[in-house]
Amino acid sequence: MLTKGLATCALVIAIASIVAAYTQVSALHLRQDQQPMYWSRYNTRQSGVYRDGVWVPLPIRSRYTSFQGGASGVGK
Amino acid sequence: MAATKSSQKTSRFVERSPLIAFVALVMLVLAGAFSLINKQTLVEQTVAVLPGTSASLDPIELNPKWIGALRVDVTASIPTNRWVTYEVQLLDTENNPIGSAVKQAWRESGTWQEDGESGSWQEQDLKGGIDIRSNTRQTEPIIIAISVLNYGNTAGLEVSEAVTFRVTAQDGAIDGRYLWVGFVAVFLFWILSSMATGKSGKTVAHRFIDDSDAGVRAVMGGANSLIHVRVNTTTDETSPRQFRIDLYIKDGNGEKIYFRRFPLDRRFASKDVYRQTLNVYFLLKQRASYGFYVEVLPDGPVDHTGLIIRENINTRQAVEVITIDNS
Repeated sequence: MLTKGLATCALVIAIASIVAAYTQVSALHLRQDQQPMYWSRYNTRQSGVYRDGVWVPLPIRSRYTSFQGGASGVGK
Repeated sequence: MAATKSSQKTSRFVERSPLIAFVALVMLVLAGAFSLINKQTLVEQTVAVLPGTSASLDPIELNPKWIGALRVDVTASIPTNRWVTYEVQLLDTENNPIGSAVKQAWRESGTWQEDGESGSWQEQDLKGGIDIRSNTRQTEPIIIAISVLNYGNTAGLEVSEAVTFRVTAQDGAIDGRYLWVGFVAVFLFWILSSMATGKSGKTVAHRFIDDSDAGVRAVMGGANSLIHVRVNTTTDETSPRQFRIDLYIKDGNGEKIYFRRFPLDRRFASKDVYRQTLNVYFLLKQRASYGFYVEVLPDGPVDHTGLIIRENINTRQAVEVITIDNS
């Protein structure tokens, strides 16, 4: 019984992963106000939102002037 | 009361679940392989952009598709100890933004000293990207633009040089991250279901003794209950190349209904220690009380003997099953 449950889970996960990957649920869906599954690639964050299908850039863009690079003295 | 005996290799008790989990794993690998051939490159070019400005590429067609998305990947090329904030913009043909994303890219290097050792390090995070999926039924032209919002060095000073970006756009790109996550999870479930098969059934009797012969008695059997008899022996450095294990089964009246002598090759475990395991599978058609007795020969080198009987088990592969019908 346990083995069947585990195998069923494996199959469900595999199908769900393939569906999510192929339908690109985490892409930016053009002109859709809700983007619940958006998952940024390489930490490239959305800099706007859709309001009634129109892209509205976020004011947060002006704050990037304070950005001072990534790791500060870490690593070897 | 004569018992009939037969021995046959059978797949009847093979547990299919690990195979199903393995098929799920293969599906993910195939999905990953197909994703590599499904995408086509539309744009591959480099652009130089001055801070505070943006550069637009030629319009490309965004096609609505069942699978995949348009993938824009951008890699900034900057000298070390610089940082750049750039935006990947998507514009319609009238230059109105229809999407954008910001990447904070950097490249830094330095030296380190620790316990008298020293060296240099270099780290970078220059690549950004966005996947775009159309929700309309029509093809629409879109323009990819790269804008440099800020460019400076680690000292905090702004740099006014142009930044070179390598931009690629691919159609039909699949989100491989889900496949990776799925692969790891499914792999774990495959291992778990395989392990669970090895632990299927219920132990009905067991005995561990510091001697060479062991016996147990319990109620077990039935037409669909596969019985697994496992004999573990630990022996010392005087072990011969091969042991013999005599296995008897007695019925409820104490009458011997089965006997067989199994050869068992010596198996090295650690210095001066050998461990051997014998696995035998039975189908005892009548559910009743049965006694199992084993004797390891020669008995001189034997330190421990374990006898474990489990019933209602499933196996990983086809096994030789001895059927005993003593009705």
